[in-house]
Amino acid sequence: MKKILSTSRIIENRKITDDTFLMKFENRNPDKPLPGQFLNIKFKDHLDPFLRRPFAVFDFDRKTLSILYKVVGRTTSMLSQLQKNDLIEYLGFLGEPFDRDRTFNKLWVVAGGIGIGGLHLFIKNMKQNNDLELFIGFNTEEEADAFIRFLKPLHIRINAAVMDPKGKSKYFKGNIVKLLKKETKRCDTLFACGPELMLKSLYSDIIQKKRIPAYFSMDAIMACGIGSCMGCTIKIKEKGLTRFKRVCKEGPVFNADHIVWE
Amino acid sequence: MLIISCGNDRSKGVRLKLNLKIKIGKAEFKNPVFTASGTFGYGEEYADVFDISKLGAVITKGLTLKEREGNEGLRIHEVPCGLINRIGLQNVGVDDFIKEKTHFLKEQNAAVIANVAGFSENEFYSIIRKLEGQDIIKGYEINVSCPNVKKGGIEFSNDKTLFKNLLKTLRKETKKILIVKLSPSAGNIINFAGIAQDEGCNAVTVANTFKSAVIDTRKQKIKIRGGLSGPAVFPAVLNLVLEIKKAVKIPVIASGGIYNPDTAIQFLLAGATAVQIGTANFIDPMISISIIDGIKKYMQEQKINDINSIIGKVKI
Repeated sequence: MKKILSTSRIIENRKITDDTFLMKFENRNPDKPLPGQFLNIKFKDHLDPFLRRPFAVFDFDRKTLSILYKVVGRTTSMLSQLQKNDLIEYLGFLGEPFDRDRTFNKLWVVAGGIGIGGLHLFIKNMKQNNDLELFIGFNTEEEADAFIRFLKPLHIRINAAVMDPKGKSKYFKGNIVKLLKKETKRCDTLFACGPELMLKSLYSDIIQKKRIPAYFSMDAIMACGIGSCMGCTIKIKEKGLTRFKRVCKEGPVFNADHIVWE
Repeated sequence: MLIISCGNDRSKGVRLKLNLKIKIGKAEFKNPVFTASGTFGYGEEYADVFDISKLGAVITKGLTLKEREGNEGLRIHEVPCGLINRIGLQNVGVDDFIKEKTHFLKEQNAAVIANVAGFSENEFYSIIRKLEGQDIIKGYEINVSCPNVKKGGIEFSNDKTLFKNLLKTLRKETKKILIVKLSPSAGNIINFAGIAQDEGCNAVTVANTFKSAVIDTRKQKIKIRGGLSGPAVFPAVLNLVLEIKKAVKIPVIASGGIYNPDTAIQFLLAGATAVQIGTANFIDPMISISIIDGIKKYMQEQKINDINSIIGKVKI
């Protein structure tokens, strides 16, 4: 698959919740992105912010690519200010994708809020041939309402948990791991993307205990995105040894059993 | 990789035949644009981006005697117009480099300089002995300036006797070109450049990253300590090149904050025989090629036939 370095025009930069945006821009890649792959993005002709920022490919068609992002700092705030016809530079498609060649009887996809950005394409790919269920956690009820409306076109079963619901809520109260703990059924394989703390407790409280095969899409501070700078490494168990593996190159998807949690 | 971008301005009109070849010691390089150690791996990641034989040279990731896993914890941190890193020389080690990487570099027809990172004189010596038989290696860049390993390397940049003895030993060991990568954080970098010249080194690289730190004010703790690179350091390194060029006759290879053709040309004018593209590779994997093209364009515009004629044109 050829990597493309493209300057693309923004088609839309739409608000999904108070702090979550969907940005669509021109797709210049001849190949299709694989679920779990990402783009390394920068502002056109800017030296500040200095580094590119990695974002999972949320969706694509022949002419467009999209990313889903949450405003968490200066860069994402600047991204949210961009408008239709502004330019953005992307490098992609990068990283190793989720395993999508197998079929599963029962597939669970677990997202920590904005982590759905890294799983959306995978869900779209897998929902046809698999019994797939999404578990997704949010901070507030408003956020959950907006996301569930936004994800409606997927037509999948969504189990949402909300950390801080107001009064009597239609959602499960607590974090997503707590919700999964209550789940009496089990799945063949679990795929997840979310904050490191969520993934860590998902691993120790669910995956390890129930012995479920699982794959996590990991996040890291990155520079090059193509495996050269060695900046984004995490500890991975390999043949009895612990090695530093690059999230951008060997990842971002790793077998959860191989990740060394600190 | 395909590049899809807006605008591609090539100079028009009568075109001069350009000479971009430069020499360091007896080694000739097709142009003065090298890639800096630690920002280009062993060339593999970039070879599917562009033809790396177009580069003046590829300088490898620092090679140690044994494989190194590098540092734990946060390894990179962005600052305005710069990057602090503390990778800690994660590399495959010299034996695996010879076994697994040299063949690929040969296939790519790349000009290669091995960056050598020892923790003792004996280690530097052993690494060079192992690499001596590799025809593809045109020379060595001695890394005595990595700020990110607890011992070794940078100690040589702070102790003139250690530094002198190391270079004396290595000079006896190889006829290939010997370049020393100096630390901008060393006491007096100009004195060290002078010692390198006296000991028969063919060039000095000015410079490695600057020792830097960032504090997390919420936690009231150090967030990261490491080496600063990127456009933020460019004017400081340019000044060092001017000063060192005034003090020594051997070629200076400039490395620090290049991010476009203009900054590369400034280094050449200041006296650098070659330049290294480092952190900018992370932002734009095609940057080295853009810089080579930009230098050619500048030469056409300024009616300069030979790149060597502008090297050191600006003095202090």
